[in-house]
Amino acid sequence: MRLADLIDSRLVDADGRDIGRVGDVWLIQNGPPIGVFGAALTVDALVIGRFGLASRAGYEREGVRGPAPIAWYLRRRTAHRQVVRWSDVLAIEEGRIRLRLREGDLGRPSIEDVRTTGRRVSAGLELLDRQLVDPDGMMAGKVDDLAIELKDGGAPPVVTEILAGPGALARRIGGTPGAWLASVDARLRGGSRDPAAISFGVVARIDDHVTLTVSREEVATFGFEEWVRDHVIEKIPGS
Amino acid sequence: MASAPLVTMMLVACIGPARTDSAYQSKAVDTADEVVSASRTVLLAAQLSDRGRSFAPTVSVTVADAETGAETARDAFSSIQPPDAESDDLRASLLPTIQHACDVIADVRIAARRADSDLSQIAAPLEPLADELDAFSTRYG
Amino acid sequence: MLEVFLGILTAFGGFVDIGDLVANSETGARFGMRLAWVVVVGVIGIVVFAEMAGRVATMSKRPVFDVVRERLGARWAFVNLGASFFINLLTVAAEIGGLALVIELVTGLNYLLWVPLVGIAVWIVLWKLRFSLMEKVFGLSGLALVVTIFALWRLDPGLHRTVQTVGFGPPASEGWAVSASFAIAPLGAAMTPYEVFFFSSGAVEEHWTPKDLMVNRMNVYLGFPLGGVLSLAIMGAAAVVFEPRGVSLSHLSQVTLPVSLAFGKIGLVLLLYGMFAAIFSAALETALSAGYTMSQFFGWQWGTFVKPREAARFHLVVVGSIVVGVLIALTTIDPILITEYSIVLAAAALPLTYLPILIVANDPMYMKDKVNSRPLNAIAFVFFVLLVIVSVATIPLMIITKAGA
Repeated sequence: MRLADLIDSRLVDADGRDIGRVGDVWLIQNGPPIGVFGAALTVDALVIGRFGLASRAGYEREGVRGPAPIAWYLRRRTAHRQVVRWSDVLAIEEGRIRLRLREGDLGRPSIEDVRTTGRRVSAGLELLDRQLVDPDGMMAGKVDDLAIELKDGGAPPVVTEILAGPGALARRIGGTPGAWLASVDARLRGGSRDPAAISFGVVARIDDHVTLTVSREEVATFGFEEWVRDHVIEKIPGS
Repeated sequence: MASAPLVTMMLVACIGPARTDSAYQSKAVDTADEVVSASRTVLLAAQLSDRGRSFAPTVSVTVADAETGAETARDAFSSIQPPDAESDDLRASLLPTIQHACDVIADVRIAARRADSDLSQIAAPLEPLADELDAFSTRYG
Repeated sequence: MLEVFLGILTAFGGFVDIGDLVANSETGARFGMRLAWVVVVGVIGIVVFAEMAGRVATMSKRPVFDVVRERLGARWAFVNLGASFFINLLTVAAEIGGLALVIELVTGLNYLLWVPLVGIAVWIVLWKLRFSLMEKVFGLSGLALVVTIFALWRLDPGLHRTVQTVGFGPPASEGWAVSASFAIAPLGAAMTPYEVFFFSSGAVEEHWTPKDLMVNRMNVYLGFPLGGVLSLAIMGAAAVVFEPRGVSLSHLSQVTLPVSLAFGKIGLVLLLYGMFAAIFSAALETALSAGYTMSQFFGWQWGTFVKPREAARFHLVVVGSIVVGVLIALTTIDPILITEYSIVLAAAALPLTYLPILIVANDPMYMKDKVNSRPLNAIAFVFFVLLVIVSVATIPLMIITKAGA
């Protein structure tokens, strides 16, 4: 499944009450080894509540202060949202996630509070929408979505691939603009609707961008660039 | 829009001529202002041309632009149906002046295209015409 | 030292575009200098915005639309991209139309003939010329517009008549709605978003480091205000020549009259040359901005520092934007009208790109120790509120005033 499907799923607690949507997903690097990246990222926790500007603005972090009125307003909207650990998830259904716990049992930790071994990454804040860069420093697209492999027996899902390109992005944009983007993409790519997938095994590291170990020409998103290059740009003298 | 005349007619029936008259009046004033602007632009351009302070193509374009502006305003105004007798009078007092101004501007444009050297002479009637239109605008504006 | 000086002059000469020429002349003709304060506000605004965007690009290596997507998230950034890109296209069309009008003023031949040729010229320059050379040649040539400042002084020595009408509020004769809608134009003309996209992308392309921040600030703090002075001179010249005569500005040809009056043919040559160069430089910048915004949103390789074949989609978008601009201009819609719409819509869309930059400029994770200072934050926040008010008021104001026109 895709991360975009997890995000925006409604959460239903043990009493059957709808307690909100998944806004963000916290990942932790403690899965099976995957290529150069090392231990794969697995889904550790789901954060409840809309993940809008307030969360992306980063005012939850220490040290981000001004401008005062904006900081004050946005901090109020993000302070301490409820978090569900993956171990408390009972089942994944169509657009819904069932929990073992009741709403009142859920904690409101910050990402720094949830201490276990391994590196912790907020998918929404630090992974999604990041620039992909190849070893030569050339740009290879954005992290538009992530592919997650569900495991049996309650083991946390593993992030297996980065999904890139308008086909993946359309799902996250959603609504009419997303549908429009998806149809444009389908027409340009000759009908195929599967988004371009980049195995997490070729990810070298994640900091303020995601560095790959393969050249961008080997990445599936290069198709459109290559087509434009060959059919349009190369035809013009001086390229 | 097709419904605009219908709405206007309904307004006339319900509210009376005063409402529509003032809308017509303000359109008349706007038209007068447009033509004043075009006329004085042409007067300036003519003056500059005669004193050798501009180039022939530039003057030519300036006058042609002003002519377009004046004629568009005139055409828009003359095609509006006057809603009542008072507006008829307004129209009758305004249109001839505007038409005269447009004619003079057209003469200037023709002369400018020929790179004539005495545009001010040809444009001279615009001075009193513009003043007249100014007075109209002040009176009804 | 020469570099710094050249940078300031380039920013100065490149500041004015068709929007500034039209907005300031129109406003000066109708309101005298009563709305001059709007230009001052607009210049302060663009200085604040551009300096922040340049600093963000320098410290985080991220240009504006990259930041926008990261902070607003995929959906809102996509909507933002749609709006910004559309407005950008309108602006390209306006600049191309403006260039064609300038050539018409020189040749006497109808501007529509020149539109396609202008489009081709803009594209050839983009394709062949190096970025920094392009910027310098056209930016410095734009300095010829300084003739307007001298013309104003000649027409009104000591500026006595000009300053007579300077005020801080709407003029008494016009309704508040009309004044407000007219005030948006010089503001939008000064605070153009494409300038910021271009500036921040340039910072990333030229690999600015913290050492370059000082130079960046000098260019912005000195070059842009000088451009603002030029805008005020354009407004003043229109105020002195047109307002007393009751002439309202509706064609670009009228913009030449004050300088002709003051200095005759020599002044006119300088003015037309300066107008051409300044608008041409704006056309280059807006076309590139179209490429920058789309590429930075989708993550494509972009830039003029790599060979075109290595940034194929970026160049396709740039060429495409010129083609669309040419097509829009060829619909024979008055370029002045296109300009007016592009300015006002750009002003309305400003908060969308301003807010993410403002937020990131305060984030130490990206800015290290170069976050906004308290005083700067205060000013920047005031501007944010102002831009939101302008943004919300624009459409209703346009509807009200069109209905009253």
